[in-house]
Amino acid sequence: MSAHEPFDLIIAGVGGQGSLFASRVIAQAALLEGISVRVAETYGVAQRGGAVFSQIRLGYDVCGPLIPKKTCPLILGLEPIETLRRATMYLAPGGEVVLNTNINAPLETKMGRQPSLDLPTIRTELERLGAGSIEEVDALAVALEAGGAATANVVMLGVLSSVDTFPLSYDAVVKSIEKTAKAASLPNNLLSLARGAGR
Amino acid sequence: MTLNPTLLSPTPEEPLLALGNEAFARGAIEAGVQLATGYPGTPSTEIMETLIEAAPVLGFSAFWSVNEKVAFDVATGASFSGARALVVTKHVGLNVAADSLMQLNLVDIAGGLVIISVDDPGGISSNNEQDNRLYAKMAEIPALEPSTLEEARELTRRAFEISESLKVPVLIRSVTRLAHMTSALTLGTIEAPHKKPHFDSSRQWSPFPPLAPHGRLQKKLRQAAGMLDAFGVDTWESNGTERLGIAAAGFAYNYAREAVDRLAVNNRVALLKVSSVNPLPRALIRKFLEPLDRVLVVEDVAAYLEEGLLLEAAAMGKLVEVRGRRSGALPSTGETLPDDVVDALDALVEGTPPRLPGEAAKPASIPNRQISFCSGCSHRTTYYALAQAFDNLGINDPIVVGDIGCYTLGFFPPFNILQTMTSMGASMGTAAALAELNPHRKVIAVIGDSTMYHAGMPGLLQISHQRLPVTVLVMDNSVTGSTGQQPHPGSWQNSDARTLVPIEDLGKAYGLPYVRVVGSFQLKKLPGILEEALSSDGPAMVVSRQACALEPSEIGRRAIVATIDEALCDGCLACIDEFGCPAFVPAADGLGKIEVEALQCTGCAACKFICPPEAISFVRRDSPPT
Ligand code: SF4
Ligand code: SF4
Repeated sequence: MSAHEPFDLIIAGVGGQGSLFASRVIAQAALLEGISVRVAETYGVAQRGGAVFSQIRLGYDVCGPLIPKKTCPLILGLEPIETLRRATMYLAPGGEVVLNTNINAPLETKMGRQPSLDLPTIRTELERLGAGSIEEVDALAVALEAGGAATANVVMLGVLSSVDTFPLSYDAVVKSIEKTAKAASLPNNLLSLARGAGR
Repeated sequence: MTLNPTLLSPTPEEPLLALGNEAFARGAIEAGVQLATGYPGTPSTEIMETLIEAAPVLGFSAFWSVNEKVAFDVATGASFSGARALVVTKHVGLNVAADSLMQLNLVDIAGGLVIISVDDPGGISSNNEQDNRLYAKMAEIPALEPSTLEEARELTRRAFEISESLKVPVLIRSVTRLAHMTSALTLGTIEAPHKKPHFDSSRQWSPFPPLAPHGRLQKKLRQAAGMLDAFGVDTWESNGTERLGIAAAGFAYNYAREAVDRLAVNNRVALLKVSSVNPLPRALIRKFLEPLDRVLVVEDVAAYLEEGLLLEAAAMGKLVEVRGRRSGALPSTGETLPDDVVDALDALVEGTPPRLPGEAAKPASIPNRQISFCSGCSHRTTYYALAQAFDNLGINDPIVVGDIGCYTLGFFPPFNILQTMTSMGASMGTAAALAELNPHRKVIAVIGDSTMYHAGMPGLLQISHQRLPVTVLVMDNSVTGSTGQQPHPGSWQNSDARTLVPIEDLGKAYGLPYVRVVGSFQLKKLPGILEEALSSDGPAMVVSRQACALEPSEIGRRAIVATIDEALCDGCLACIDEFGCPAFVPAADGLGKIEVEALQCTGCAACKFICPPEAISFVRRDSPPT
């Protein structure tokens, strides 16, 4: 990809899922590939379990860190409800969604005091929003096979790096993880990435 | 946050990935800053965190001050000693230091003194969205507003140069989206160590009498215009034929450029980027305005540049339509959003009035995520005990005055207990008057430890002095919790080289007749002590103490986990509706009972006594939570 072919990406998840790590890995991979990058993170207070939302903008000459509405070509969904929340506002018609299928419902929903959303409903809603493709992955199951639940985010990065339109190479993502992850968790992370990418 | 060691490298290397706030810190390092201080506050905190980690390695001084005024005065002392000094604050923090700023501006300082104010357009993590460029105008000091990480680093260096050569404090205005943007940063060279500090006793350091210094200040500002012009921080992109223009202040330049690119009108729209906030680049503004019929101004919060352009146009005797936040072409509140700028520019290009952006419709069907105290948070048990104390004493119309910190979540379920919250430390004075004017009601002022040190102490003194019947409940979790566990004068996390000043010692020294300290998790004791305090007729202080659950030494400390006996749990939901620890979730079997999510539970055991049928007990766990 040339440095002047802009590409936007959103990561949607909840606190504790490692979405900040995921956006850091992508930003670092872009830097390694010489592609300009700007990331805006939005997260609640320090607490666990709040919504986390990263906007990643690649290959622009100059741009703000915020993605315009209804223009995002690719959403990496670490949690389905959060994915739908961001897709509603940002997904471009025909945009792609890579979706971890493990729902983490807010407490009020678990208590039956707020509407709940199941996977089929989320899928239908994403289609109604004009999603061009929805790739579903049980990232938790893959991560558990690769060594632990904690790397479900990295499994998703693996899936992401195998998406055709995603402008960064698998090798750059590997190098970036080598730079970003703690040494002790590196083998697990690299295995999870490979599994996610189907390698 | 952990320090990226590349930020300390003496010479330029490959660009590194950095946060906007790290770029400001690097700029100060490159300028050879000798003393940096501030008070934690989102979105500014990471600047000082980076400098505090860098300081011992590079051999300068960096530390948290008790509040922003103290920080400003500390920096003043450093500057008077000839040292380069930095003050870091969030926008509202500069209000606390404003008294000092409005007088130091008149003094010929020695070492460069730079203030970085991170404004929070839209109030994403603040009570307001004030625009601190207006402080620069009021104080008549030079001010800069960077648009990228590179400029954040470079303009911080420049700010020190201007400050030192003109002997005047310089303000840098940043915004949340720059502070918390991650992007590539290219480094400059670190300047050789600055001259050794020395306080010159042969002169006086005061603005009094202020008239002559005021004249000198205005002269400095005129000289600043020349320096800023020479630095070339402002840019004008034009092919000389455009009739339309877009002018952007600081970070908003990114939105302006993006809008021009998106609408592909680069050949039709002249572009002015203004990074010198005060004084505005008048000559460049004139050149920009000269050929134009219409201009859109993009900036965050106030119509500062917009008004500047209007004034300049009037002074030129030029008729030009200036659109922006003031004219209504862009929303007059909230942060700048890319779609709004595109719409407003589109309208300008078409000659039509702008479509005013509507609120984005939020689909009702997506469940919200309510924020709550962390599992293992001491504030939860303190509020729980306070509610119990009210119940036990039959108090049904208490006045509970809040303050600023994590405990502000007491406004929300399950406690819904707080009734007021304004500025840092305001709980003390507010409670004083509420107690005086509502003599038949119980008044409780809830304040955090860090907030008490910051701005609560004078008000506490007043409560004590006036003998007002206020119960001061200090939520003491030993750190500044909400900004990421920074230490303060009562933190045991400080090194041995610092004297600890516990809150209860303040209460005693100030003469409060009732002062008690109790562990926040002690739900057998805490309600009774609160009842005693509430029943006393003078001022009383209860310090509820337990380290923040996110304090590093707390994490993973306990080898037990709560568990619920399914046979005993009767589904009363007291653990969720009255206590609300996020570790409690409906049991998977869907029979209306509750279970504990082991990964969420910190093993704090604070919930031991909150379950009516006593279904909660504790078992050992093999691996502690992370
Ligand atoms: S960060 Fe600390 S003080 Fe804030 S809610 Fe969590 S445990 Fe409580
Ligand atoms: S012990 Fe009880 S209160 Fe503490 S974290 Fe676990 S469930 Fe929550």
